[in-house]
Amino acid sequence: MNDEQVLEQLGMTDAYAPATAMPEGAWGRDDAISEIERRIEMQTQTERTEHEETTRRWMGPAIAAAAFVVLIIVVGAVALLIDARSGGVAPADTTTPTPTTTASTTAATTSIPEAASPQVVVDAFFDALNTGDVETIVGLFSVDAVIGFGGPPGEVGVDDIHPDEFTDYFTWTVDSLPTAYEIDGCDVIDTHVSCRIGYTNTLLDAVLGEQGQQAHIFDIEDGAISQYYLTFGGRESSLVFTPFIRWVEQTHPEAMATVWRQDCCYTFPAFTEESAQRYRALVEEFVATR
Amino acid sequence: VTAVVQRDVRFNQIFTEFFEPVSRYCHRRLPTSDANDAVAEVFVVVWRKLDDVPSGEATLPWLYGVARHEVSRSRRSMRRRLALRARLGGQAPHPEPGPESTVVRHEDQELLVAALQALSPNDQEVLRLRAYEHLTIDEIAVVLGCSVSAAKQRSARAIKRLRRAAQLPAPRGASKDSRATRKGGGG
Repeated sequence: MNDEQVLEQLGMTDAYAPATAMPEGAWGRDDAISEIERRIEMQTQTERTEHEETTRRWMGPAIAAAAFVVLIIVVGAVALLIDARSGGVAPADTTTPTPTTTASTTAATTSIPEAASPQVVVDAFFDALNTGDVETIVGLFSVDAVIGFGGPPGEVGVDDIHPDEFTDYFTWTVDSLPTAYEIDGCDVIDTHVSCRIGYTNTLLDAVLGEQGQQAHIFDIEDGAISQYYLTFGGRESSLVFTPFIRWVEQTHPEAMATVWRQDCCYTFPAFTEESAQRYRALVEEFVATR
Repeated sequence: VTAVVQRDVRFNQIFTEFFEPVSRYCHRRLPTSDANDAVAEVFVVVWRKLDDVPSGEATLPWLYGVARHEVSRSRRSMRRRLALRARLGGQAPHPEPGPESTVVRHEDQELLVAALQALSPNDQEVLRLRAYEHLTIDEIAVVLGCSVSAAKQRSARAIKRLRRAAQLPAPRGASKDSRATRKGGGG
């Protein structure tokens, strides 16, 4: 069978091919449109309420600020008038606050909160990674985010991780080999953040005796990570990880199928609890042989 | 007023033409109640982003792209529900077999369906987009939000893995995989 025939065979297993009945309980057009209208109405109502609340919240301080400015102007005008009539020095110089200063302070302390800045998000990411807080890590990503290894997601030769797998991936990362990450520096250009990261763990300590280097690259939109990819230092790959994998192949060949995915052209970890535990045990054993 | 009417007309056109394929897309991937919810969310997004919806042949892949996000979101929330249930001491039910399992007519198809369900979600999605939604590689690239060459490569890899999982012989003239080694962990 060629590929087209395989797809054709697969196509014949489509339970909901056009002209076949939909499952019991599936909404028809009328049910669906009623629900859609209800949701749109709810969203519109929520937006309207939020808008009204924002307006109300801002109205009080705005009126107070305007009244204060008017008061200052009136006091200033009166002072000038007295000064002009008496021909002396106006006391306003020392007692009248500067309206512009007052206005700018008011604006600064009541500015509208914005989405977290890219650097804040990146710091939160590494804090959570260092403490193994997977829920927080995953919560920093947008719903349609993409993770890639070795280069930007979607590029040829780069493995992507689907959002469905984020929790499993980060749980595996945290559980398989506890690692300390240190930000050596980040370059921020608009929404793009490129960080140089030093990292240590027992494997690196035992084999290399020093920090490894990674590049973590983020795109952050509206305070959420929309793209994330990392590249590993070639030095660690050749001196640490490849020898480790070779050692596993030779001494525990049966572990290969547990730890790494077998359906891929790369030696790619299986993001399962069993894989993480086995990987950790293998690292401990490997380190003990050094 | 005219703009509002035009907006309503356009939304209704899109809903009328594409409700069924979007609905089928979601029901192929989610249990019924979650699929209903995902379909509604897709059209709420359409309403909100009506100006961004491309016209002509580009509409359906765009809608599938939105539906794909809704399906992902739904699956994640489903997993959280199951995890919570497990934490609270209840038994997490086994995931139901996909709807494909109900239409298997002979052994070859059973093998293919089992193989499909054993693949990663990414691979399954590419294969379903080709076999069930009958999309071209260009359209798949739109749905997945990647380049055409990446979509082509993902599709080729997915078919290869499906073949391997279903233990189908490689097509004639196919070259052997070059296996590369990559880092296995540590951050």
